[in-house]
Amino acid sequence: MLQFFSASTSIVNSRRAITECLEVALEGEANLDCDLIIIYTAMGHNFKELLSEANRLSPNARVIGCTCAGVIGREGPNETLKALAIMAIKGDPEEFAIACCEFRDNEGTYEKGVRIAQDLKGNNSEINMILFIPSVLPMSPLDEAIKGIESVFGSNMPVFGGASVDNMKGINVYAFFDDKIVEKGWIAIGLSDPSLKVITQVNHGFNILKGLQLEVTRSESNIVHEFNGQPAWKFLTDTLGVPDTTDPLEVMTLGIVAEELPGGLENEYGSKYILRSLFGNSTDTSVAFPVICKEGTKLLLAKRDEKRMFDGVDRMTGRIKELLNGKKPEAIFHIDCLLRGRFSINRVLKDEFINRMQFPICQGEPIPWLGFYSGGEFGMISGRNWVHTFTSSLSVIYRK
Amino acid sequence: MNNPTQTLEELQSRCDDLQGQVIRFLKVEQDLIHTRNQLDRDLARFKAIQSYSQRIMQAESMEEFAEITVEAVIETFEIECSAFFSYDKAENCLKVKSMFGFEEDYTDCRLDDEWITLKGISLEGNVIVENVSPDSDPMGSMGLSQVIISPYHDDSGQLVGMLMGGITVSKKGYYEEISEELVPSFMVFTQQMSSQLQNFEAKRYLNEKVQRRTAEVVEQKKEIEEKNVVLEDQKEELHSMLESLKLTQSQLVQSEKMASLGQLVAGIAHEINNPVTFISAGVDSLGANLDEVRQVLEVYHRLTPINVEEKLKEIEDLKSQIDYKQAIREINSLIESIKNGTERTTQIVNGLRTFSRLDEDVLKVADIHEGLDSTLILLRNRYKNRIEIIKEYGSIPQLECFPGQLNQVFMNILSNAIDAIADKGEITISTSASSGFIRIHIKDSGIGIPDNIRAKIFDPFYTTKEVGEGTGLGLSISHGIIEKHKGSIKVQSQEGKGTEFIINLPLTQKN
Repeated sequence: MLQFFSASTSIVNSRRAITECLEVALEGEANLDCDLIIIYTAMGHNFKELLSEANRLSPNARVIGCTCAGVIGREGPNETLKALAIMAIKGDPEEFAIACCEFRDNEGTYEKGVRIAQDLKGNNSEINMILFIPSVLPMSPLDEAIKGIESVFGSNMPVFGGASVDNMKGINVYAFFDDKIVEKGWIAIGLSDPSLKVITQVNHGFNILKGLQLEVTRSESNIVHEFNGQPAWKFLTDTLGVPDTTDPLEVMTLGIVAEELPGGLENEYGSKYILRSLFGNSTDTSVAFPVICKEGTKLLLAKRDEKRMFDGVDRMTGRIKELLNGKKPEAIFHIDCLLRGRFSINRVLKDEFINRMQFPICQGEPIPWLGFYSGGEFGMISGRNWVHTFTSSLSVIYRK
Repeated sequence: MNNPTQTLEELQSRCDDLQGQVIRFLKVEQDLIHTRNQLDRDLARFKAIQSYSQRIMQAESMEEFAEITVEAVIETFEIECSAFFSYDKAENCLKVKSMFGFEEDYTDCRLDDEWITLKGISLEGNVIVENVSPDSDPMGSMGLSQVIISPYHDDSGQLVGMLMGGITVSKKGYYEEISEELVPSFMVFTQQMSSQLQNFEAKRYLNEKVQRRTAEVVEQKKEIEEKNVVLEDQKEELHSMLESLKLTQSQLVQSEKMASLGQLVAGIAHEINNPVTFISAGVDSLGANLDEVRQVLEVYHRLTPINVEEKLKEIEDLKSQIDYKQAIREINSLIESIKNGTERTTQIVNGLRTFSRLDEDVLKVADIHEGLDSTLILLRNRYKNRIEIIKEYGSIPQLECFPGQLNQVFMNILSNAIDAIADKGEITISTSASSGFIRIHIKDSGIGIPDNIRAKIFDPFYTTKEVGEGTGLGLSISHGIIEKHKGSIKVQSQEGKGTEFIINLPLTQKN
């Protein structure tokens, strides 16, 4: 039976930071021994020190983790470059499996999804939920990765988590696997404790601007070459009224687009649109999507709406409480889009935003909570795994 | 009526305008978010500076101070690495005190006087932000791409050290570029650090002083303890000596007592010898007289009704022959004499027993007159027929005392008084009571004590008697006994006229 413990810190000294996290997380336990440590860290830490110290403090634990744009612990959000959060897990090593895929040139996203899923399944065929954290770089169709995983475990397998990032600089992303630091690596953690179940809910809370429609007229996988018959990047920057030399990261915060969901999902999701982030390439004037973008796809511009975001969070936590039906959560895995952090909300609002999620679910109890600010979120809608952007995704693990 | 195509075009145009306005609004909103973030960061920075000030107060060593400072620089300014330099006057260079965030150890790094002059580090308030080229020493060789530097000075404006924050080439992309906007808050931080450093130095100085003083006190305490040990040893030794002295004193007292008793024995033996001689002679004569009476009685025993006449005649003859009446008178006289001898002997033995009370270490209520009388009995042989004892006993209550010890005092004083009277004379003993005390005067008509001796008479081993006649402890012991009873003993003497001892004793020994 798996047990979860979490903590986060902003201590700048990496060794002291991981020590404090483990000590706080495992406070009251006989020692710092555990079986798995999941580490989310911002870019400012010394990764080698984090891993070696974790190994020193808990030598029997497997260590896995990634970089991110900030962490969300039960202590609240932290987007400094020295943010660190962990989830320590104790239990039978037969009840979990971990896998890591390094980046390989010319390997398809789907194939990579299959590879990591097979690795997991090879270690443990009883897995009943997967925390999946691929690298956001290079921009690839993450829905294909999910499909690859589903091809091994079946489409009913809950896949939650999100894409690892740096601090929105788009320079490099790192995954950690025991003592290895893997550039642009993917990691996955499969849990097989049969007594555990997961509820995943996602929400974005944006307004859709139903004016100009962007139609994908030429694309290849997740790369859109033309909108409305014009070079995609040029069309996008012109539409947004900014020069085509503008930093693609800046354009990303402005040019949020929405795609209509298939019918019947609006009620559960709270919107009939799913949001897509666009990452421009000014050199070849293309725009990259986080998912496959077929020609003919119609997109609308979307605008962040604070009230709808907060209302959406309330709606989401309400649904989770409903589904928990009085059961106490064992752990919460949280992924929030990095553009819902300091890039769009100030510190006070952000604290309130996260508190609006934590309090209703935890009711003031120290339920283990581990999250990070990501480059894409995963979460089921109506029993199907979806890739989201600009959303909050909560995966609440509870005991049956 | 409007042209529908024209209207549609107008609507499309208006829609485009509105969309454009929305997008412009989005940009403005994004700018606002950016500005708000800046404000958030500034606020967080000043909070971090405040928090740093509090944390630094906890530092217990210069190393800890420096360590907290470099970590606080990184936390406060979200920069990658930081170093804390102190100025070495002797070598005229800046040396690393603490550094954090560098991939390699540069603690041996020295910033020499040339560099200090070049950067204007000696100038107060000179905060420098600059890009570093890889070939520039020493910052370039430390892998830095950008630095912010702020020197700090003491009250007299002398360079004390330098604080540096930086971003390395390898992580340059992840960190915000160090801009001039950072200068005011970095300066505030450095000033804060500098003033805290002064406080810390003052605190450290005080701590050192306290530690030094504490060490001195500890040393002194140690010395005192050592001295105490010596004193304890000495005390132990003194105690042991005292015990030994007490034992010696006790032995001396005992020997003095024995000496006094020795002197008394002859007199007492003589005193007892007289009555015993009476008794012995009386018993012999009594035996002879009783033999004669027994002869008469034997004839009476042989008397029967038949020989009455004959035996009565024999008895009358025998009585005439032995002078029976004289014999009976002599028997009565001898019995009286023996009785007197026995009473006298009993009186002497009782006196001796009273004098030599074996319960001398136990406080008892006793009659002082009884003690004086028993002492006189024991001394009678030495004064009878030449010294008249005049007793002027007052009505005094019984006294709480060690009776045996007081008797020893009386023996010493009376013995000296008898010795002081060469031929005939008198000794007057008077007692009285007042205010919880009783007073005993023993006055003799002897030769008196010369003035030059009077002050010494209570000194131990002082004696005017011949060797073997006195121990020189009698009056000294008497003085001690009276003191033990919380009383006093005084002497008044006139040479050729006599001496008077006055003893004052409390009625009770409580408190």
